[in-house]
Amino acid sequence: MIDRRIFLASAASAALGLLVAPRAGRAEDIPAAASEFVSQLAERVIRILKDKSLSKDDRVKALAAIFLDGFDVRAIGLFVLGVYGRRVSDSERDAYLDVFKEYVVQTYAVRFNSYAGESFHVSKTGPDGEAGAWVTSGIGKTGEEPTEVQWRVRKEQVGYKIIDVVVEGVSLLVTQRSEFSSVLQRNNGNVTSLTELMRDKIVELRQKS
Amino acid sequence: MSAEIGLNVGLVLALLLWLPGCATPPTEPDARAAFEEANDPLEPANRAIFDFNLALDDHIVKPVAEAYRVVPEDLRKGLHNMVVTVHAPVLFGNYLLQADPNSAADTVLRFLINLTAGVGGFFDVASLAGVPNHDTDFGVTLAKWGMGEQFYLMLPLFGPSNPRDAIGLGVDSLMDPIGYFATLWEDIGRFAFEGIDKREPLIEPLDEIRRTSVDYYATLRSLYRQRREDQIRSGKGGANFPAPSISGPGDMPSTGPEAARPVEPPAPGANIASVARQSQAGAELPEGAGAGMTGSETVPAGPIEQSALANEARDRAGRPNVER
Repeated sequence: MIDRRIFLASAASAALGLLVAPRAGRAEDIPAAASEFVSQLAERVIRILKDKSLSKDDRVKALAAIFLDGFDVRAIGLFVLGVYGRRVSDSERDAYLDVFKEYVVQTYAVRFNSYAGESFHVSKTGPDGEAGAWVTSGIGKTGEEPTEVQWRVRKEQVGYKIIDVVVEGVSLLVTQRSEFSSVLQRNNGNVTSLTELMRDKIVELRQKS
Repeated sequence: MSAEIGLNVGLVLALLLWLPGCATPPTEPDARAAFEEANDPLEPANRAIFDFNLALDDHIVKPVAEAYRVVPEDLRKGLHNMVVTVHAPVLFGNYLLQADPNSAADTVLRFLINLTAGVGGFFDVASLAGVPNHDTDFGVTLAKWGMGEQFYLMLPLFGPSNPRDAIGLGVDSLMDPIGYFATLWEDIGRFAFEGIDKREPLIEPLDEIRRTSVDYYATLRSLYRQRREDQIRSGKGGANFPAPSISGPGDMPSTGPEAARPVEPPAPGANIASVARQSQAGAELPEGAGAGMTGSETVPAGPIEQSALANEARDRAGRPNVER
């Protein structure tokens, strides 16, 4: 009983602590640091987009590098396998992750390229669990209503990483997981067939660009 | 949309129930979980209708929407504003039904300002004057009353939907006074114009999504759900998105971005997002994938948090799910 009371008391004080002083007593202010991290990433992107001396290829390469640096592509890749991620073999998984990395670079990172002349500002930041934060930003062209984009950032051993992007209520992670789950369900949960499908897609995207 | 066309939605729905191709739920646990998460029991029929819609879009709707761009942007914007203004009675009715008097009042104010100062609704003077544009429909009203989406439904011509939102389409058209005055052809003309007005800003985003996705149908299904969920939740906050987690003690359920969101209404116009809704059940963070995995060490692939999936499956089984 005593144990339980102590547990409840400490749980209550912990909850109160979160409510009253979410940042007190922490070695690091994660939401603020995450906000800084996202802003710096955005600055790097904008700088590249504004650099007229870069060829299109170089620009895409530079953007891809920022993308791979800023996002935890491995964690995202494993997560979007959904329920099927549990029974994948090591070799299957590694092959999948390699191709997934290339696939997201081709699909998402390249998308940065069409955002020329953008403005970026952080409007709000708040905690997400113990070691994460949501950073809310407005992205837009001058003279236009900015689009609200939320970045889910996590503090990891290697530093801060983005694990999800939410645009107007639509999560990149949730969307990708739904899509992959559908493909996997139609292929009896065979991750290799998904990997093959992505590989074909990459070839197709490269040819068209 | 007109009353006649709206009533026909009901007819189409009735027809759909006769369509063959109801998917058999798989027995294998993982496949079963994926099946329930997709909540798309009519998938074979839905995909067939989707192919029909795509063909229609490729050959008629998109080309017309592209051709519409010869009209100067300012004129297109003005015509769009008129479409929105004319829609005000439907918005007003729905806000009343949602017990949202503030938005209802804003709608009346916007209607009056734009109809007069905005020259018949051509100029959105109300937005400039600080009366924001809201959007809602009877599908949202039903959701706020506690009705779940039931299941995913691909409607011919109208595209992604579900029984709740399909009923919403029909009721909205009945709430529209213009439908009772216009002739059938005037209604069809208006419906066609509104379709082009909606399709035009989506030309590039949809091209991009189609070009990059490995399953366009499934991607749109997810986008539609998430977008609808966002509309239903609007201003209320509290979305819980699942995420790869940091293993170890101290994991806690995540707070959605809504919680960190300022009170102001979301900015309009994210096109990629304008197609969608996804059930984001109260997700605990799944174990496995996460921090420390960016290194070279191998960690077993992260299983998806079961309770999150179970919640989603339960929600989609038709439980009222408005209180998210």
